[in-house]
Amino acid sequence: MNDVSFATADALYRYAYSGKVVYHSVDHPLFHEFWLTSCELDAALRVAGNDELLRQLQRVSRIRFEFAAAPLPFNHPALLRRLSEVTGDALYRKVSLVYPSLAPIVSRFLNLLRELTSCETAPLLDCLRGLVGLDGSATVVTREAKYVEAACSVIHESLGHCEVIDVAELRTACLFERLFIIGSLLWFPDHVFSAPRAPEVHVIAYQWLSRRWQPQQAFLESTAVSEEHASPDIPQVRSEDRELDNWPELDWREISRQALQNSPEAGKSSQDFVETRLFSLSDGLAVFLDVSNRSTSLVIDPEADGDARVRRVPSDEIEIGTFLLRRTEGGGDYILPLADQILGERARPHRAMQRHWKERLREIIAGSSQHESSLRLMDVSLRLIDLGATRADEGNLRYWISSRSISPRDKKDFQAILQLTGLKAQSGEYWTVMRQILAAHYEAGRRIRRGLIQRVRSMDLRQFERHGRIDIVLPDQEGGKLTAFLVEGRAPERSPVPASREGRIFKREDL
Amino acid sequence: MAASSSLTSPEVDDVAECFLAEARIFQNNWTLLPSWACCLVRLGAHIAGKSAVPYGPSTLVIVLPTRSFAAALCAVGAVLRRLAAAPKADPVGRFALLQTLQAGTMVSFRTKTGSRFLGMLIRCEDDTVVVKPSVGATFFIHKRFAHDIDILGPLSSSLPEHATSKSPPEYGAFLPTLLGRELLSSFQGSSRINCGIVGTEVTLRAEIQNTRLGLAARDGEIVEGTMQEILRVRRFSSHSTVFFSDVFSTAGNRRKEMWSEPPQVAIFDGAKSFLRHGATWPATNRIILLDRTDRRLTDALAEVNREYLQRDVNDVALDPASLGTPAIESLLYRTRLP
Repeated sequence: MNDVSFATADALYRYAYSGKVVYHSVDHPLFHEFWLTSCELDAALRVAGNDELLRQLQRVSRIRFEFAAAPLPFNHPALLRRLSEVTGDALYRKVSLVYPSLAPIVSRFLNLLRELTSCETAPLLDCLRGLVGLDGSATVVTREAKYVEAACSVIHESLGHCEVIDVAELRTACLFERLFIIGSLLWFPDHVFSAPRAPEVHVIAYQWLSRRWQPQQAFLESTAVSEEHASPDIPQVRSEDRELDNWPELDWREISRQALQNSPEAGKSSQDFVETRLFSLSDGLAVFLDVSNRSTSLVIDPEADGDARVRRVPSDEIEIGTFLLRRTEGGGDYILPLADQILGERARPHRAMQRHWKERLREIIAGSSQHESSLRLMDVSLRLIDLGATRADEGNLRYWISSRSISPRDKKDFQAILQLTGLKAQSGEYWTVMRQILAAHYEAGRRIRRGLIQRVRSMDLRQFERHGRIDIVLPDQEGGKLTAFLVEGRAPERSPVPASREGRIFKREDL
Repeated sequence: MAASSSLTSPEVDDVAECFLAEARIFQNNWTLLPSWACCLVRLGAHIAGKSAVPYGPSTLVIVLPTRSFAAALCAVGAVLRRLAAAPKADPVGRFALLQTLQAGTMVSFRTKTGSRFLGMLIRCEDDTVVVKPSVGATFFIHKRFAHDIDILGPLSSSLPEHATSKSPPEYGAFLPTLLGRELLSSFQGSSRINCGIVGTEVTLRAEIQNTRLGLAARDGEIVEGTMQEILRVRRFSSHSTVFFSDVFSTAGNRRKEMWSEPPQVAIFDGAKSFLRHGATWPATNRIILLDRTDRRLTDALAEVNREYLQRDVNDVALDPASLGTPAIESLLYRTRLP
């Protein structure tokens, strides 16, 4: 994907073979006490139950990871962003009322949190300062991209020659002089140490989180693991590693629950649901993508060749490491605005007609005598089949009424719908208009892909390795401003979500 | 500068070792190939030397600090090993393959006089292949000479404009220096895919065509070349050139691209290549190269371990550490023949 020189590859092998990992422990009694209390609270919450109040508390208790992973003062605004809800007594009062047994530990936790967040000290930064010195140069590596900006400004104030990157950049074949990893090495992928990008990798972590790296065997049985790396001065990972010290894994269900709870349509019973899969994106973002049969998404695959680099793939087959394209503004849909532009003056009346038959069909579904949503859909499907429709099943009907579909592809299906909705007399006009909208969508898709291919061809592909999010500006007639988001993970299971949430990028809460 | 004599003799069957003994790489000046690079060439040669019959094809999985140059170096080892063990011409097999192709497939063919033409396949009759060169009369080639017909590419509605090449194109002195012109000429007759690399074409092209390699000739001079001169990748060559290997795009359409006979050795450059196309040639020896920084490393390792548990027999392991490269990890196993 990039032009790595032979000399660079040679250096990477040398670093992997003979690179050094150096450990530096930092202590801070107050933070240590806070950490232990936070772990204790976390453990107590796991057995207490699973309601929203407890989940809220758990998210707060996990702020310990933020304090331990960012080289920032404890009172830095970047760390305190989501603390406002607990700095008062409201949370404590609620917990005391509902879970009196938790009240003592919650009280202790909140007191320590208040004390800690009034501290101006930055133990990790102080350690870094001592190691780098005033005339040295170094690259600081944070676990999360969200710390980079704040860490950059803080570090530059005292150490002007340091750069700060997030760990994703260590996947590139860039070479560094010295790397300073902030946080427990358990929080970083193995390649940071097994395929180091510098001859020296320093790990700065709080003393109680200090761990030692040892090579992991990739295969069930290997012919060789580099023994040279496990030099005698590097002790093994301690057996008493505690689960609560590990960076919390993505809780897909929780991310999904939060996103839907915060949705403006939450609680409405008449919502249109679609089958989706949740994808985690770079920069702490996420998106639900429709994964029903017809749904595809435009992706950039930096590892592909030529025009295949920009292609449309079934949404359910989007792979980790590819870049998902979304429109930065307007809900993420890049086709619709351009299609409207292509339709010109016809856009407004055409879209009104599209909305009109869908609304009437929805009303008929809602007015069905059946109680359950699926039975109502089935009832209307059967009525459409009686009117000559050939593909009117529950899934298709759900898709046809959604805003993601223009109209059924088969004229018989559409005519049956128009007959059912009392629009039979205008069926010819409706069919023509829907075909025009469809043609505009196809043309929009073609223009965007063509523009993207040209744009991506002229881009330095190393950008895609280094950055998790890339803005691509196309002329307005080719789609306008689009953003390519790196796909970092995909939920193991599909889930139905309101159609209005599909395709919308949202901020996720990881911890 | 052409060397007066070769570094190998026809008796030497391990051309890869001869190559490594004299190979140089240009990094500001000419230096010996580093140990990891030598190791990868040897591993490529090792797998290429394994017979898939009767024990089933071998799979060598290598986990590396970077994928850069690994596929090209393994391919160099594989091609050199296969050149040394070049099979006898197989006109029956080639005729059978030609019978499966559609009219219009681009081919190059050699006549009895040694001239090489570019053309397209018209049809296969009972014992004759009919091919049409871009210029001149149609050729009827008897099936016993079918191995003289090289398959170049998918369907062509028309012939290319510059279609003839009356003699094999002249590469540099690199491969003749290594093999000797006499030995090399015996390989020039027909093309074959000794090695197929599945990966990102643009990257592989840069690594294979732009890396300056050298051979220390007996007169002390450095004979300069590139890996392309050894690999002769079909996709990076002109149509009329004899080729020894090919590159297939990871994102490519297999049905469109993989129309030819299976390669002798398949190299999967990266987790995605392996996960998408690893089962394409079930009877072919494979080398799977996995970069430790690859986002899909875990998925690929899970698949490798699954295959390993279902392996047919254990293979004789070749320890990369014993080849002087402890920075890589490897696994070797054989799978059942389909």
